[in-house]
Amino acid sequence: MIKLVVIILVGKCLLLMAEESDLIIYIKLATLIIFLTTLLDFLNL
Amino acid sequence: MNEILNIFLDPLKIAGQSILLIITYTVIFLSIEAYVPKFKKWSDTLFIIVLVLTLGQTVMDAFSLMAQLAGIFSNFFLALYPIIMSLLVILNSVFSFIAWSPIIFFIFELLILLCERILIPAVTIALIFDFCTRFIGEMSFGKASDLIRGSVMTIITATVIAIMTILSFTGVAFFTIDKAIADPVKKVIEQTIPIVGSLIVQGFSIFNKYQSTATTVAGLSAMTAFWVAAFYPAGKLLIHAMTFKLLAAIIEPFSSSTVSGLVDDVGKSLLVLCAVAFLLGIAFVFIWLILMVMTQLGVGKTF
Repeated sequence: MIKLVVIILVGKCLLLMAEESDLIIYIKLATLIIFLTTLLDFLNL
Repeated sequence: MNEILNIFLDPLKIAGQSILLIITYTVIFLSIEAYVPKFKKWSDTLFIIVLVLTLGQTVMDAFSLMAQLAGIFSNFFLALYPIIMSLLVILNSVFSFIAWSPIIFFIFELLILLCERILIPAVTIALIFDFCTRFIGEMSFGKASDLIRGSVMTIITATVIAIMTILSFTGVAFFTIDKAIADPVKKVIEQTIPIVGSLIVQGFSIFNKYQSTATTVAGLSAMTAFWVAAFYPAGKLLIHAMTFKLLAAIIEPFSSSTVSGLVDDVGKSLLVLCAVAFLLGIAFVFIWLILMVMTQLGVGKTF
């Protein structure tokens, strides 16, 4: 959860600074990777 | 006396302070937006950060209160469990009169574990999802947080129904209240307090059924003390939750939907947390009552 909050905060800062709509795709990708790694950790895989 | 009064007044003071602070912030942000139009792009984000910094402490206090409460109840139950079980064995002959079942103890223990391990962390996760959803609008976790809150409420309602059913089976709930008086009051509570209203009504119905026995055993003043001790945390959380709902209603016309939506979501999560506290309160009172009934049976009194 801390990872998620950090990526959301950093992502929002980047979105505000860069003004690029494409950036959201990278943020979504990073969030998805965090979810996947957390899930794998949880399942001990 | 002042200390006791302060216990009840403190949540209201915090609520008043929060409302005043947020109204002040809204005025400040609106003024800056009026004079510096370029600030609008940053205002929502900054407002959310200011909200988290200001009201975050209240929310964290609410969660730590719940964690403490679950810990205390868990320890309390573990301490009383051997005594209750010994009485259960000693009073076996008298026991068939009320037909208490060890399943009640199992359910209460399960309930406390459920609150400690699943329900409270689930509400925390829902709150974090809400924050993420409102912070980056393009990436919504709304359905996940709604699912979590819905599931928590379903578990709580199911548990209350299970407790009620078991108490009816065991013959404890034998006193019924007058329906003509109770029904309109129930409807008002259900409609006034969102989410937890129906749960509160259901919970109090159990106590109404149980009250005649309880008052005979413990006396009115002792029962009042148990009630206040058991439901004070739930009441405090309800005040916090309603404060957030009120704040959302106040700032909605003057701020963006993101900000008021976040405050409203926090209110919803706190209401679910209040439901968890209410459930723990029910468990607390029942464990006390079970012990008192058994002690009274042990000295030869019947009801």
